[in-house]
Amino acid sequence: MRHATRLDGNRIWRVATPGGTVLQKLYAERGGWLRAWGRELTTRLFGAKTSTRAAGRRATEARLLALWREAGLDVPADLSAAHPELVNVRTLVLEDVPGTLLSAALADPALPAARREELLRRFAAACRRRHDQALSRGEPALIQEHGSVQHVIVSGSRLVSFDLENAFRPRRDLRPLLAKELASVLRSLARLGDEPRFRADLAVFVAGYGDVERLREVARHYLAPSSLLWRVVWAVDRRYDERRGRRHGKYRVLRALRDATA
Amino acid sequence: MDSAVRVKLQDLPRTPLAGEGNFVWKIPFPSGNDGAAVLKVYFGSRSPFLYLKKTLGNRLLTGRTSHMPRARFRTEVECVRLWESHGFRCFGMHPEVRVEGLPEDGYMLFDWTPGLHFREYFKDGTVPLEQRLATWRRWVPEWHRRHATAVRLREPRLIHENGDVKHVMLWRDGFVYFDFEICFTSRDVRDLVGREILAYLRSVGKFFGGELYDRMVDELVAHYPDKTLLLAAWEHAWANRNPVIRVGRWLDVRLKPRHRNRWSKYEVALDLRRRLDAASLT
Repeated sequence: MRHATRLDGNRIWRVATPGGTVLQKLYAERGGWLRAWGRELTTRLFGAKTSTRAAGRRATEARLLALWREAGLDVPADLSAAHPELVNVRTLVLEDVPGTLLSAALADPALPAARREELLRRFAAACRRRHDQALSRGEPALIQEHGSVQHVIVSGSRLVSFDLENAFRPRRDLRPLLAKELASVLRSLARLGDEPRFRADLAVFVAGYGDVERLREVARHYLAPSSLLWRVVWAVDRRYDERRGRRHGKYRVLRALRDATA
Repeated sequence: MDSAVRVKLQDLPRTPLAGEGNFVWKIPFPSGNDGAAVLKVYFGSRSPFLYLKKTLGNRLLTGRTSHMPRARFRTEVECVRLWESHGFRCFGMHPEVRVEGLPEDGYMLFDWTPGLHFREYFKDGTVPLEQRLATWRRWVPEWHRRHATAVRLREPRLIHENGDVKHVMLWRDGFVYFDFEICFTSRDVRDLVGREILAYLRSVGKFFGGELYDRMVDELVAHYPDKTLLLAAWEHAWANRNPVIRVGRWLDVRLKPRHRNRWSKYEVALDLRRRLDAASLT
């Protein structure tokens, strides 16, 4: 055990109840109090995201689960009201969605190519529908702050998104947020295999998404931002990726997206 | 109308049951189980000075109820009624029985309950291990229900202050609890739940040994519904919300060699945390 005196991150337990298995999610601080407060202070200063403290993440997740459901998007049901014995100020009770992670399914060499392509297309189409709603409603909470193929469960015909603890705060222009989400999703896709595989997956994603113009604009927005502020933010991001030697940095995957949508 | 049944202490044939402290006797009681009952006298063999000293410690330091005989009588009667009102079985009381020769509000007649103490049952090799573990699995949800009720109602009297495997019995296919003379007064019931869980698990380790402890704690983690209440045991020992207590515990664990024992509350708390971490999907 790394830390005897602190939890350092969330816990999720499967709990058997008379109505079936549910997940009890405990929201805990990440790191020591200094780090947690430092992160929160930075987040508040920039004002771009919701609170990173445990209580804030719990509140955000409860709000987003309701919002996404109301928008017809597939997320685990919040069963907290039905299980008062498992709920307290630090927990939520969530639907236990059976299935495999999309990342694991896509990385599985035994998965037939047609099925793999179909999954990726469906995933991209679901992203597109969500982005349509986000843009038409001006709702940044419908853009996933930590989008990834690791945060989607393939459960029969369902593609269930999870991990909605953090969200973007309201802002006028949502395109930079779309760029952030897509960069994050594409990085998670790039990690699944080598470069040719990623390029092939990207082509399927673009086709499944169905709005090449939007993807091109998003990539352009990242690679050649119009505002000085975003230019600085992306430059810092890029340097950060380069310094850490990330093979799948945001800059690289969005350049690939630009090429794929050219 | 006075419906009291009156008996005289000097006429009663008495078999002593308790080791020290209170006088606890098994006495004949025609309508009781096996024709017997238990007479518990709260004015025991201890000196008044000791009662006073313990009372001061309880009230001023450790957040418990008074140790004075009549106060222990009142606490026990209240607790038994409270526990039974929530569906937890305790020894039946007979307040209608008056014993001449004993101080008023200083004694109580309880049902003689010839059940099996957890302490004996779980280490009984003649009972198949799977059967014993099935009993434990059956008990764990009841244990959780009491904890959840206590937290919901912020009711410290639903926490077993002297809780361990010595004070639970298996009787007529159910569970019977006893020994409620002292209870906690704090409203931080979650912390008290953690403390009680640790006390029970320490006694499991001490009385049944490491091998059975491992099985029983694994079953506990698997079947106790609210894992955050189990985690409260670790929080009680290692991450108390009160910084003064946290510092005190930090010093305690470092200064006293006995806390490095496998069955110390600190070690048991860490062990439980490890198992909860292992059961987590994250």
